[in-house]
Amino acid sequence: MLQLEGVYKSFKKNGITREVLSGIDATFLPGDAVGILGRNGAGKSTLMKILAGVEHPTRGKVRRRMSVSWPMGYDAAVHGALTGADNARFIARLYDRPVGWVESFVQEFSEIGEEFRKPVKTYSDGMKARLIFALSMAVDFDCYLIDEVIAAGDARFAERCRQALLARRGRSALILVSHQTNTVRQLCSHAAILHEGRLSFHEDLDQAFAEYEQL
Amino acid sequence: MDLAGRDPGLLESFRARMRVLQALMIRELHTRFGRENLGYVWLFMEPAMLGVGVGLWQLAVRGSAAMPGDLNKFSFFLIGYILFYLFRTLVGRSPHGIAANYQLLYHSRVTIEAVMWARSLLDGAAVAICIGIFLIIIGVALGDWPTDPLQMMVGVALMTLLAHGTGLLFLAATSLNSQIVDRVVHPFTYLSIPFSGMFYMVWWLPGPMQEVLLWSPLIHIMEFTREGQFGPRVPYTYDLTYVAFWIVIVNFLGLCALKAAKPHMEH
Repeated sequence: MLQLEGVYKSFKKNGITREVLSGIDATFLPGDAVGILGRNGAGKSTLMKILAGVEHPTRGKVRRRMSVSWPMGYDAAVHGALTGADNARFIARLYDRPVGWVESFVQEFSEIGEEFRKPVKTYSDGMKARLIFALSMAVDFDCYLIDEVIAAGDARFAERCRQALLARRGRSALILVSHQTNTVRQLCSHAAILHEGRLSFHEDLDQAFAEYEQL
Repeated sequence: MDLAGRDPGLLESFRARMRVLQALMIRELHTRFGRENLGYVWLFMEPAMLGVGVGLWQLAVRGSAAMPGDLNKFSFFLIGYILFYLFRTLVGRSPHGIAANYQLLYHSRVTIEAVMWARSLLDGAAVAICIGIFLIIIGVALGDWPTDPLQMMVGVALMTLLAHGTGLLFLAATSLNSQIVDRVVHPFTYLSIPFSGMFYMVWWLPGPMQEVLLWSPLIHIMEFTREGQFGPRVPYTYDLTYVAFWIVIVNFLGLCALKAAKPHMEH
């Protein structure tokens, strides 16, 4: 279970406080596949960072009772100076998975080949995205946080990601943020709209999309 | 935590924390030193070079004049400086602790506290090993073996804990104004040199001066460590209860301050 209770988040810049999230309540359970729709600047990435535990709410509570992935779509989860293999070993140790198995799984799934032994900063964007996704698959999280970026880029790999995530639907929770309704339709069973700092849930996708289009 | 959302037992949650700490320490080694050239050797080389430098400088400055109590001049300043270096490096780096490692926080298992612990333990261990190596070199070369090496290692551990807590306070303060903290931390570590006991022993000084300087917990740790180094040849002045009091206070306040600061830190 991943639960937000009355979460507020504001940022201070040049002495001006801007409230991005204004009282968010949400509960995500294993098996949920929720698409969070929001326009640019609606606070999607802030919400993502709070779900992942990167940032902490100004007010309110986050309860994390299942293993939650890093937000996929940012390349922050890996270190550029380390090789792909180093990153894989670190992740294996951190999440208590067999180191050798994680290394070979990630090398194979990411299709990076020999570059796996080179520093991540020498990778192309596509390779980096593949590495990060493969790492998250190796850990086998209870909950995956996904930014829309994953849907972009290399079409063949994006399709593999989609298949891998669909295969997980049911046992893992899936939280996807996007400003595009079609990404949400492909992966999610219900949707929520993030608007003016608040999150409203919809059981019915079409109803959610209709409301989102009117914003 | 398992799928059903049950809380893990105390032992399991302790084990999980240890795993995270271990993973962080190995990663810190890799990211800080890489694998090329001398790699990890730099972990010891930095305190070693600075310590030898200060030792040689003091040899040159003090010429042929004997030290009070006839202590070995070089090893006195060498070990003293390396112990102080531990404080300086941990506190000095603390404001940047997170900026340099923000990627780690994308893993929900990794907390700021764990990142700071991993660094403190790594540097503490490096300094302990560095001191150990020099003690052996000095013993072999000059026949001057330490009286109680274990006591010296306890001294290193106390210094690590004190510096760790102090570092947490500086890190928490960055959430208020990181630029000011950046500017203040360097003079702070620099100006703590005279209050560290690095260049003197308490019994060398006149009574009123002793009383003032003994407010600083650094001096107590330095004297305690030196007792392990030189034994009962000279008098030592320290109070471990006072040191423990400081360690508990800075660590407790540091953790509270960090907890309060977290919502205002941006990554």
